[in-house]
Amino acid sequence: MFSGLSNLAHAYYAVFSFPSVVFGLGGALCGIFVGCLPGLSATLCIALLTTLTVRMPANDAILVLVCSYVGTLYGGSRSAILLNIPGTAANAASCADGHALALRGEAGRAIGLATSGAFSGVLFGVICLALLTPVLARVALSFGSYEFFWLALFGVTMSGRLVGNDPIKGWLMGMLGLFVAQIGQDGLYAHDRFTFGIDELAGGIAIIPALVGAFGFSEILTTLANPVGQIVDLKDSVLPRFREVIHYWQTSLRSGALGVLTGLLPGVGEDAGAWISYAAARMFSKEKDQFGHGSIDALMAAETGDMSSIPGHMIPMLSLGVPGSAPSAVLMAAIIIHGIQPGPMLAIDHPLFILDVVAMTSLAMCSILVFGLFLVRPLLHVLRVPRAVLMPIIFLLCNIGAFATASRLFDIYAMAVIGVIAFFLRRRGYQMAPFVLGLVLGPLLDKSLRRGLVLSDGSLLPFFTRPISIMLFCAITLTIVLQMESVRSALAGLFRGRKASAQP
Amino acid sequence: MTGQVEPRETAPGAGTPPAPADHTDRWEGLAWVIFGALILGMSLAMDRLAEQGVPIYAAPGVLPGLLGLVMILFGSSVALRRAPIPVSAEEAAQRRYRLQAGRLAAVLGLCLTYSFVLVGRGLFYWVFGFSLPFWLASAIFVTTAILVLQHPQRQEAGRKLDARAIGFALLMGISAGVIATLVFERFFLVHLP
Repeated sequence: MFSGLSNLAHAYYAVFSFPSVVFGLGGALCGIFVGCLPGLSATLCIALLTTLTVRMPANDAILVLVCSYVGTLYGGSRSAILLNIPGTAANAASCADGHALALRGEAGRAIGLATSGAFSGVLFGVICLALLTPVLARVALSFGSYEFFWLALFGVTMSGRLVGNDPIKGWLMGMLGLFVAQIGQDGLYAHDRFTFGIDELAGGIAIIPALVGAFGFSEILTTLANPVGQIVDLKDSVLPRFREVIHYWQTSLRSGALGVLTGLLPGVGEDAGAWISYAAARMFSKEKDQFGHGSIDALMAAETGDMSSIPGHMIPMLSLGVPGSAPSAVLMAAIIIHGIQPGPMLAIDHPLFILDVVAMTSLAMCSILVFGLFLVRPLLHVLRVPRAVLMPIIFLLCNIGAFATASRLFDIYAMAVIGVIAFFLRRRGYQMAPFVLGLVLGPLLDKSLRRGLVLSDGSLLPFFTRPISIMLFCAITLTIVLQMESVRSALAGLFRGRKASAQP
Repeated sequence: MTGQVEPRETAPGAGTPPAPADHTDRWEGLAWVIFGALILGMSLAMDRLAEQGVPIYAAPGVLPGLLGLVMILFGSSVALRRAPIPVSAEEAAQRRYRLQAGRLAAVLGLCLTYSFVLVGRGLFYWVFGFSLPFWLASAIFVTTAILVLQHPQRQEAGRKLDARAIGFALLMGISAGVIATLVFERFFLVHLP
């Protein structure tokens, strides 16, 4: 136990020393800038910064990425409060109450409370990250190909179910992501799949160009197609009153726990953490009627929930190698690029890395508090930068981002083609998060399925008889079956029948 | 006092009520079925590596084939469902952007020209026999994009394209191209196309 604490202290000392603090603050600031701009997501920010930091030492690069991840989701609350537009999808729950407060002339108060909510959320999440990741990693050591197959499928299924309002379209996007991941040489026998004789396709569609296309180029096109809105000006102080923050301790604790729990589920996404916390806060609140009309309780719950889900998503990413959300999927890809393989073997191959990530997330948490409270007005200027100037420059960065990791012109073409397809799919209600999860989990799913079948000599039984496998299989089946129209109408009929028979 | 910015999306459930569902889902579903069938067909036709002693259940086409099958099932479900899922306010708003199709086509054209023609050994190289330096290609793209994207705002304000607007766009374009090239090549040691 003491060696563990000593290692943790060492990790904090390394991260909070001179050059690392500068990298961390830079990453968080960059993330807050991107988060402030509606249309630019955490996924894009991490993908672009991955290419920018590819030549840096692994720990410095991952520190920048972790801080930008936390910064982006925090920055999204600015535009939610001041513009009524969530900077990222995870901040959508903060819109109604945050903007209502801003319209009442309490924008500063809303920003201050959102900042304290975000800080407490990440703090709660960091504690869970430090405590739960090693435990889950130990459990995951007993996982075999069968469990990993179902776990990967569970991530894609949950993501498809919870993102957007049409689960079937979400699942189709997940399947598309899984399929795109199969292009190129397969992981077991190096056999070319769907390459059509094109040499560049033999290496597969690289994940960073694909993500930059799906989240960068398509977002640029979406942003430029939108009309003009209004920003509310800041008149009051952003420094929250200590008594006010303490008053909502129950909300912070509950939302922190819910955020981490939703983060633990693969594929669920940060926005689910925010919405579930929001719903729970409403259930327990004494001011239910205020929800949606400027409730502090609601704003605190939403911000705490979405921010605590960030460390929550890192737990399955680090211990199982299964990311919880699209941004954590990119973060995982970046960690792999830097030579560290997340998953059950992480605790054995890189025993101190989990503690490093805990320290990095703590630095990110401190950064958002500093920038959130003391750099408010300069950050507001970011919201006023004309899109006509900003978007071409971001597209230029997207091209560099796609090219930089492998120095292949083909990656720029892949980014552009995927971006155009993603743009039109998004307009038709197809979400990108399941696609990203599919893209990242595709190789794991393929290897696990075929390895499992080889181990069982072609028998499917072990996929359905091992305890964790059967649990995951049941969860996936229930998720899909409950979406079927006939099943839902049958269930509704059953409940109506019971209600009618219960009435005298 | 308020400042103008251009938002991207509305909060789910906020603003306008959901628009009525349309029936284009049927064609989409059909497209997914065809795509899934293509994947399934190609997976079945894929080499099963039997001569290397690979059992059929470990053949490279197993998972892609299953994915194709699932796409056919879900695609059919989208095509055949009786009541399409009502679109959200955000999605409905996105579908209304047909009015801005010209602007969208211009942006798309500019971006694709930059990626496929100007950068590295793109179409420009194959036509003219030499490739543009990255900073110049980027400067041309950013300058043109700013001028094109600001055109509707100028029109709305009744202003014509003047030397000041061109100068600003040129300054931004050259700065972006030169700074990006210097920062990435010299500081981050990234080789640019």
